[in-house]
Amino acid sequence: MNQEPHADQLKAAGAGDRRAQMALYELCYPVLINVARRYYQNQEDQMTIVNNAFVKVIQFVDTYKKGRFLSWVKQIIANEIIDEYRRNKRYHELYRFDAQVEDRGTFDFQTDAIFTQEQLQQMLLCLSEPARLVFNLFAIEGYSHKEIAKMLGVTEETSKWHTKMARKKLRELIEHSHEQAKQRSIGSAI
Amino acid sequence: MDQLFESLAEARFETPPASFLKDVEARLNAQQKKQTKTLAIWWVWSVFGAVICLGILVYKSTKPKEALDSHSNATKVAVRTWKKKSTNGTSALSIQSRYVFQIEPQRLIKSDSIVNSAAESILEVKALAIHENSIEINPADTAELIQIEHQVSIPSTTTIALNTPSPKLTNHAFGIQFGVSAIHSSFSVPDIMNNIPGYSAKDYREIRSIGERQTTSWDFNLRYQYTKGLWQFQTGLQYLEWGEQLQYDVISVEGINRYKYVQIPILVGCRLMDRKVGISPMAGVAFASGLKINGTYIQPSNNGVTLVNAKARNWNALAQIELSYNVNSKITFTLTPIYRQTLGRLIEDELIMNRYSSIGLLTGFFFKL
Repeated sequence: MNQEPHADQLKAAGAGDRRAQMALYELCYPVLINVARRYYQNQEDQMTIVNNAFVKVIQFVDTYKKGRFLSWVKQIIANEIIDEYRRNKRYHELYRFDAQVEDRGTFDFQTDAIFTQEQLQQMLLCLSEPARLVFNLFAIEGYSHKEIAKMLGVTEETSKWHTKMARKKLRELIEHSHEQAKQRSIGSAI
Repeated sequence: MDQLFESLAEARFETPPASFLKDVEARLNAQQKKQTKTLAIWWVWSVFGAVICLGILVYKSTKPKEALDSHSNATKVAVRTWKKKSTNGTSALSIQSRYVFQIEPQRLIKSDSIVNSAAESILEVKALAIHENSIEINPADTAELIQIEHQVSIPSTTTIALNTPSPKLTNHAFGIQFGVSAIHSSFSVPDIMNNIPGYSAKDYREIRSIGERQTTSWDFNLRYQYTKGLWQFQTGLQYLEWGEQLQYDVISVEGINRYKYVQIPILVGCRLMDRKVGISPMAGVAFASGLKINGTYIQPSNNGVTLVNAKARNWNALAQIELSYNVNSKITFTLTPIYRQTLGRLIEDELIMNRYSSIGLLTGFFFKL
């Protein structure tokens, strides 16, 4: 997924050429949906965030100057997710240090060694929303705690704390998955 | 742990599903519409700005050369005394729209001057125009003149004689106005509807009253005004909209009906002035021609929408109270609460019958010729 759009294509999309816009959408879609799936389980929510982000891409494509286009698109969807988080008034949860204890269930994994992308995504969706947001930004998008703190308007300690809690929960999920795999292998041996 | 999840950053190629494509197209269309609207608003305001600039330019170019700038070259008129018009010794001056004072040209001085004698008083006025032997001043300055008249008690050997006041009784003005109106829509459902199998007038009335709400519109006016004494006549070209917001939950349809018209109004009223501020109640009718007349309503069977057309031509009634402020002799700022109502039904489509009224606030300028 390293294909970058041509400058003419970007120019045409920015100027309102619908064919160029749809071609650009097809190019950006894998990146956008990949990010959206880590934050939202519901397909309708994923569609809203992906398409809102893409409209922003078109709106601001004239301001894109250099660097990897798809990285820029990733930044836009990350910002859109943060905005959406704010819009839904869940922002205060970032300050609630008991938010992570909320149990969103477990996921039944088939193997203890290799996890598929879907399984990892499902694990992330088991996290509380603030923990998922911070962990995604830190561990997957590669933002530093300082940057996350600035983006979300929290302290670095809060960001670190949510990451720690997310790791703890993910570890539990992985261990649970291992245990289930073990029991399955014992059962089949008997 | 983090490394395990880092792999999620890598996106795999996949094509967007049809539902995503349809949704993004709808969003891009909405975005494009919004951009066009923003562009139109900018365009309208640019035209408004250009008209204002043009008006100022016209005003400056038509201003008499002799007229003096009120700040830099305030005209000082040496006044010896006033010719009193009444015989009983009291002043006959009254506030009129415009006075013409006859003066000796050499008495017009642009710099500080020493009063020649006790019989003279110095008066600073803003000259509208200075002619060979007369000076026109703003009505507001006449109050000061009256005061001076009382202070100076010298027999009337006039150097400056107060001419017979000659207020200008007629004038022509062109104006521009912008504003917003709240549109109120009312509909009627004929009881004959009950005779159609499967239709219920009561249900249809209820669904429409829940599903239709008032909306707002932009107004734009180009106007001509003729004033004769207290009377005013106004006409021009107005852009206005009628319509309503729709949200029919029973069929999951929402939107806005907007019927766009241009109309030629004919308004008559009177003008009451107090120095620079005036109030003009006016009423009249307007002939409107439709620019966009198609709308959507819920079907009387409540299972979809039906398309209707508003009348292509219609008469409207108008009433307004115009508040004005004379910025100077040429430009008048106006603020106008306005009420409009369709005369008769704007939509008359068997079972869908709508009337409209609106209350708005317009603001703009008049440029007097």
